[in-house]
Order: sequence, then C-alpha cells, then structure tokens
Amino acid sequence: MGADPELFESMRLELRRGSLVLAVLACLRTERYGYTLRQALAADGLEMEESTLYPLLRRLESQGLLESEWREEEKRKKRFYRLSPGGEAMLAALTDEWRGINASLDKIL
Amino acid sequence: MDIIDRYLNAVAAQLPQDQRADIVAELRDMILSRFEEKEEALGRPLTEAEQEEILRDVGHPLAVAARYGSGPQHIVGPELFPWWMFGVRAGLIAIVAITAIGALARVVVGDVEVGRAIGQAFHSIFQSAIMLIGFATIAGFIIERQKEKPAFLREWRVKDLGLFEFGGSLNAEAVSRGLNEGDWTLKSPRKPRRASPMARAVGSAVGWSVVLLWWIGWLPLTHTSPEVLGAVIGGVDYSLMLGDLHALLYWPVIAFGLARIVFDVMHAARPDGVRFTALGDIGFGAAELALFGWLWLYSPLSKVVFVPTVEAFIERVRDTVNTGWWPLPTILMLCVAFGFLHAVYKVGSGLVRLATGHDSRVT
Repeated sequence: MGADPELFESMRLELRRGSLVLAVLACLRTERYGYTLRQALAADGLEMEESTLYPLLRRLESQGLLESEWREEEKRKKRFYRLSPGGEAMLAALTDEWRGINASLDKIL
Repeated sequence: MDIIDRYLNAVAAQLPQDQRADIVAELRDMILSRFEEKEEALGRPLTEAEQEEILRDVGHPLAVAARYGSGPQHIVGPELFPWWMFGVRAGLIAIVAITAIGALARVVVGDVEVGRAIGQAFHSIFQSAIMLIGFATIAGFIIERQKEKPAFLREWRVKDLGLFEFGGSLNAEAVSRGLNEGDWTLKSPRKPRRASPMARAVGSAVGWSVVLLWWIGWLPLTHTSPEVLGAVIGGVDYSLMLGDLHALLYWPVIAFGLARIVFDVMHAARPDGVRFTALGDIGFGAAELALFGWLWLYSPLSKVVFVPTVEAFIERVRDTVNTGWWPLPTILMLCVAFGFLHAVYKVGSGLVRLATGHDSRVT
C-alpha cells in the first residue's frame, strides 16, 4: 500500500519547514535580493513561495541575522540582503545541528 | 491606476503604517520581476488576465499582508486551545443544566406547554452558548497576545488536577471528529466515576456564577427572569409572589452566591481541607436554614406553604396522596420543608466533620 498523498504532502511540508531558514541563511552568504534569492533556492531544488520568503527575510533581519540595503539595479530599486556577523555565527551553529540530525537519521534510516 | 497598484493598495491597507512603504516597494519589485520573467518566456507583453494570474499566484492581499504580521496568526493558539475548550465545555454544561431546570420549573408552574418550553430552552441554550463561546474567544485572543503567558499554563501541580475532571462528560474529541469527518458516533467509552472534591467545588462555583448572572438578568436563559417565572394558579398570583420574593431576596441571594463562589474557589485551591469545608457547609447550611425558615413563616410564599402544626402538615400530604392530585401549594410546601431538613442535615454533618476531621466522601 502506497503512502496517502494528502498526508504525505502535509508531512513533507512539515519536514522541510525547519530547513528553509538554514537554506536562506546559507544562500545569503552571497548578497542577493529577494527575487534572485528565490531563483537560487529553486535552482538547488528548494522551491519557496514569495509570500513565505519575503516575510521570512524581514523576520531574519529584525532578529539581527541579516543586513539589507536599497540599491538601484536594472533601472529599479531593489533591496539586497546579506548575512550579518550574527547571521554567520547562527548559520555555523545551525549547520552543525543539521549535520548532527542528519547523521543520527542516517543511522536510524 | 494599473493592476499592480490596485493589488498593492489592498496589501498596504493591511500593513502597519511604519513598514508599509518599505514592504510595498519590495513587493512591487518582486511582482515586476515575475512579469518580466514571464514576458521574456512568451516574447510579448502580458495581457491583463496573465498579469492577474501571476498576482493570484503571489497570494491574496489579506494572506500576503498577514505574513508580515509580528503577532500570532490565530485567535487561540495550540497552547491555549485546551484551556479554551475546557472553559467552554464547563460553561456549556452549566448552561444546559440551568436551562433544563428553568424549563422544568416553567412547565411545573403551568407557565408554558412542554413543547414550547423545550423549543424555548433550545433557543436559550443556543443564544447563551454563542455568548459563552464569544466571551471565551475574546479572553483567549487577549491572553494569546500577552507578552507573558499566564502562570496557570506552566505552574500547575498534580494535586490540583482534579479540577479538570469537571466538564469531562462533553466529548470534545467526538465533536471534532463529527465536524471533520461527519462521524457523530461516540466511540470513547465512559466509565462512571465520582467527582473529586475539587471538581465538585469548581462545578459549584461555575453553577453559582451562572445562577447569579441569571438572577441579576444578565443571562437570557429560558426567556425567564425570576419575576416572570410564575402564573395565576388556583386563584393565587404566583407571578406577583415571585416578583416580591425576587425583590426581597435580591441582595441576600447575590451576597450568598458571591460568598459561595469565593468559598468554592478557596475549596478548589485546598480540596483536602476537611474542617475548612465543614465550616463552609455549616455557614451555608445556617444561611439556608434562615432562608427556608423565612420562606415558611414570613415570606410572601408563607401564605401558601405555611401549616401551623406537624399534624396539619401530615394531613395535607395524606390528602394529596389519597386524591392523587398534587396542587402547587403542597408541592411548594414539601420543597420548603425538604429544603429546611436538608439544611439541618448539612449543618449537622458539617459539625460532625468539624469535630472528627474526617470526611467519608473523600476516599
């Protein structure tokens, strides 16, 4: 019997929800604006809706993990984000945690 | 005004003033980038329908703006919800009980037919339940948005958990299943059990709160107020009598009810205090003795319930049993007499418990 598709979808979303912050922080080691960040994440296989990504960027900035500035590019003003020093430390800590969880799960699975 | 402006205006209206311009500028850039990407793929400008499709993909303005909110995105969250459910459950049980008693009283005094009383009771339960759920939801909404959550969410003691036996007879799980799956069968078997002293105290406090609200006219239960719960039966105007009783007992009942609620709350906080409970029972029993004595001897009800001797009392009951017809004055006489005897028993058993420090009801 295959997995119930509806249940699988809800569990899949739950599983990946926690990893999105890590992915966004890691992607912003290079400065990007929202649209190119989303494309970069999608290119690596992590599709993310704008309605999730943009508020997340603001929340991470308000938590001091990101820095941002408005600059003009391609004739339009865009908000560029990059990792702050606090964000780099957080990324390192979360990466260790992620690898730990991964190693544990690998043993179990 | 183009389609993007109209969309962004709707988003902006939901955003906090100080962040509005910043968020809208960023969203505008994101939407224009999506438009350009699609135009590049199609090799032509987008039609308005295609633009609208992209905006729909971005999300409804209400949903998009809500994601920028800093507060909780729910009225009552998962941590508080069990408390909300417990409060609603306990209140609903009290409302149903009070409404049923009120409806029964109206049928007994002949104020209304059975069918009509049932219909009105359902209407009252529905109205009161909506009000209760509304108040509970407002309280939950406010608590949910406090920086510090109330202490009762974290600092609880195992010995106080008897409180949560109250309201257990309303099966919330079955209701949720019914709403979700349309399955209204009650699958959870229930075992009969005796409520703990704490559950009894909380039940009493909730019950008295509802009674008090009804007494002062704040609960639309059974379409009655104490004054109108009556009729002219056998040449006696019970409406007038009940109106006088309500006026004379208005403040004493409020004082008694408030004292009872305070006592029940204190009792719930220390359910093992046998002597404390005994003292309370003696005090409230004495107040009930005074009430029934007054009803018997001096109140407006006295003229229908009073009999001067025990022989006259027995004679009246015997007549009733022999004829098989139960007139209202006899029913009221028996109610007052049994109320008085119950109060005597309450005071007596309280005195015994006070002396011995033992309560056989607590095992």
